[in-house]
Amino acid sequence: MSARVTGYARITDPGGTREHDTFTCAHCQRIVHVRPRADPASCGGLCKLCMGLVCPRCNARTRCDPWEKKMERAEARDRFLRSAGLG
Amino acid sequence: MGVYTAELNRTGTTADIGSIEAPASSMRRVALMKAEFGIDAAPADATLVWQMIRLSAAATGTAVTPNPVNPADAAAVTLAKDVITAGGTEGVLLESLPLNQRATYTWVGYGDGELIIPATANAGIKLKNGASSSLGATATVTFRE
Repeated sequence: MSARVTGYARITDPGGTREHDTFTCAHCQRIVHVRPRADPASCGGLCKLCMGLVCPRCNARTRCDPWEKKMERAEARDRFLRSAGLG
Repeated sequence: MGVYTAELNRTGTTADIGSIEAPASSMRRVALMKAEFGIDAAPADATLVWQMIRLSAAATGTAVTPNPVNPADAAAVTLAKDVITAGGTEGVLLESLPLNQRATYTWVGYGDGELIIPATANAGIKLKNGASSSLGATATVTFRE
């Protein structure tokens, strides 16, 4: 999983600084923190259709709906409403 | 494509620190690359919850002018707001991290990890301290458009 992390989190408090890798769910964009030596199943899963890492909630849905496709639908709807004078 | 930073401060009447939003016209996708959260009040022990939440309707607040990282870049089209008085319509909770008030939290996303705001009117991402609507809080965001 570490080869596919796409972010990191840094927490600085009086006890010191901690860093975690994070990834962003390919379906809903929720940020998932990957704890050191965590069970991969607790972090979510790999969507075998879009090959993106997904959060536990999207993993449980067993349906591929990538964020990119969701944005395209939202933008198309917005363009349609604007062209109809409703946006 | 420019990179911009904006410092957002919670001094309004809600728990919301600020938001970045697509404007109602001249829309383009915005990628949130980095967010830093902290409390700028006196140090104390309390549990806070730093949150990033997707917005489908704009929040009401005071406009903040994002600063371009490269001074040669044009002004940002994306709207940044703080001193939020009405939080807009909240959608998916993208991040929620409980921490002690003494801690600061930095999140950085790169590549596919950036949080993307679609190019639709008034879509955005709000930054919030979900546990307190009275403490002064600051969030600095870095985004590209």
